[in-house]
Amino acid sequence: MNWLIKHVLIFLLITNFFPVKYSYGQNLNELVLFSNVQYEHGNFELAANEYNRALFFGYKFEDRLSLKIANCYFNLNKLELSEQFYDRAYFSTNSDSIKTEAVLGKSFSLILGKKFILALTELMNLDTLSINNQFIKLNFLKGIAYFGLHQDKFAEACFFRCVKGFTDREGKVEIGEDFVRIRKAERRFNPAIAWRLSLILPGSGQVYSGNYMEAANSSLLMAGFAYLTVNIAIEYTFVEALVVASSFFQRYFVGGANMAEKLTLERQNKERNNSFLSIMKILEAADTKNSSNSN
Amino acid sequence: MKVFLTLLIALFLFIGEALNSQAQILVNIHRLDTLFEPEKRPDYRAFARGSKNEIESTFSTMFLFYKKFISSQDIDACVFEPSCSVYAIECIHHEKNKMVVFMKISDRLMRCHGLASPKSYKIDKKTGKYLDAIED
Amino acid sequence: MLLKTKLLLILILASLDLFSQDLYNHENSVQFGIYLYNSNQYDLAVREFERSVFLKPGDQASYLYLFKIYRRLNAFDKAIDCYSRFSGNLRLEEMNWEFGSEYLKLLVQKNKFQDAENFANNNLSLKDADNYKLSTILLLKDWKRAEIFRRGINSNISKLLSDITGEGVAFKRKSPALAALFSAIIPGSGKAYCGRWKDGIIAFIMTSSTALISVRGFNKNSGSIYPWIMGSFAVAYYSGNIYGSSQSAIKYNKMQEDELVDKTRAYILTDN
Repeated sequence: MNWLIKHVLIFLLITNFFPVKYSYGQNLNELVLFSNVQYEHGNFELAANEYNRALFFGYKFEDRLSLKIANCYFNLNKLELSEQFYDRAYFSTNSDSIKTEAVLGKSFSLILGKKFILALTELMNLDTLSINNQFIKLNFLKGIAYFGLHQDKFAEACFFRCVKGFTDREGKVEIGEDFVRIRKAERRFNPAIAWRLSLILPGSGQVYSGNYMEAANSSLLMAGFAYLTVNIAIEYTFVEALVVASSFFQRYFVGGANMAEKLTLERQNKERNNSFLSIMKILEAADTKNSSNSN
Repeated sequence: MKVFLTLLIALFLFIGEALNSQAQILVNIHRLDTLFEPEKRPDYRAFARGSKNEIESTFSTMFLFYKKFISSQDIDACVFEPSCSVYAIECIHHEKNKMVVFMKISDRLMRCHGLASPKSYKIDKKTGKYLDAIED
Repeated sequence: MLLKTKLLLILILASLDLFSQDLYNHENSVQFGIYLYNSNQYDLAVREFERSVFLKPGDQASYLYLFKIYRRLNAFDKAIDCYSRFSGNLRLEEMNWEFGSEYLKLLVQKNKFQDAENFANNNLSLKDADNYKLSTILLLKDWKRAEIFRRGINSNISKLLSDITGEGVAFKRKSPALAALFSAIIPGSGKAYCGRWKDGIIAFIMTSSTALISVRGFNKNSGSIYPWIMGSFAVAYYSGNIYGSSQSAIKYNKMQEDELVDKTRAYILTDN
């Protein structure tokens, strides 16, 4: 028995001298469990802190922890840090699924920062996805990025694929209608037409864009400048009138046309925003329907 | 034992995600609500507030009238940030030495031309215009 | 026999339990804090170092990291508070050099150049003090004093600072009064003297053309309102240009000197 005690004591001594890797194991597990709970409850800063600790002290799954930290920062709206950790997750993993998650997460961060081209280049790396969920997410993000770049055809196709993933037939029709509305608005409020109209007759471009106050403003101002020019020309010479008033005349003439152009674009963007919100609602509804079906 | 625990927790990490993704795929969709919100027109009323006497309030009213009915119809010609009219109204409100107010404004108007040299000013990264506030 | 086995078991369990407290101890907190600091997660790093100084109140390294983080977060008061918690007082002349160089950087970052100079002169333990002293004089744009100081010391002085001193002394300033005088004689010439000849040309054209139109208007039809309007424009442009020329001279001097100040600032603020 003495022999046994002696060996056990030696064993304990050795483990005491090499505590780091050996003893953290259980501890880190508890830490990650704790962080998971915090994450579930929405305490993202605390969760990020403790995940970081686990990561630093050598928890085995660096990729999964990085992904979690990135999600925390995403939820805290610290987009740069979240991108940093999505990258870390991407480069530390061998699993395709986690790689995809990391790319999707990073693109979402980039989209929130309105960096649509960067987001698209990230998403282009993911071509064929076997998991349906990731396929839906990919097309969702791609659609938004294309929408932000005004590539409506591609955006529409991506949103269609997204709805297809949810197996929702009605949604497809509704999204199609939304894009029809956008195209209608683009045809109805054509900035080039508004600009040219205003050059022909000041204020007419504003009427075309449906903004009558601006139209009155522009035409009154131009009438005022015309009156001033004529008045100076009568009182002095035509050349002097041209020198004094023509620069103003030219500026406000072009300025009015630019304004008409801007107003039509504003109308278009308003319509785009409304349609975008409607598409998001449709997708969300399809999502909830899908999840309740699968449960 | 430890290996078992580690595996259990790894499983938990996974299952958590899996459960989550089964419940809802497009989480955080509402953070996109304001992404394509149209930009609001700038509001210049703040610059016109705080007039201390009749002269200042007259100029404030003129400023607002100019911004609303005249400047809005103009091309984007001013090379500075803040623009000449905002510079002028700020000068009228905040410049301590009242003697130089109109000299400062007319000097600024003369400096505002397409030939203004980038060597002489710092550039505003947001608008790409030259920075020229009343303090400096 | 059974007792012995039980004791042994308890011993094993207890030792395992002891290990498991390790993660949050002082040493690990510091290590973890440094990792957070290096990966730019400053908000989290603050917590970690605050805990580590709570666990071990005399820990200079942790306080120093806290000080650095607060400097990066631009929180002046918190950084100062951090030092006074560490040393128990705020006697700046006794500040050791690790804190001292950080404190100097903090002052420069906040553009408190006069305080920085006082600190560099009064602190006793600043390493490389001559370079710091010279840079604070340069930051105050006192080129002559910097030159005298540079000549007075024999120790190694940074070549960059030495060059900046030379440039500052050699720099030819534009006189605001002269610029105003030029512009009073020929509108716009004062601006050209300050190196802004394009501004000068525009000012000349605008002043002279408004004046010309106004004079012609008075000759032709003195009852009209236009010549009065143009005349007041001409007066405003003329006086504005005189004022603007003197301001241009001041701005010219300031821009040139600020360039040297920025270089000095960058020299102090780089982490070395």
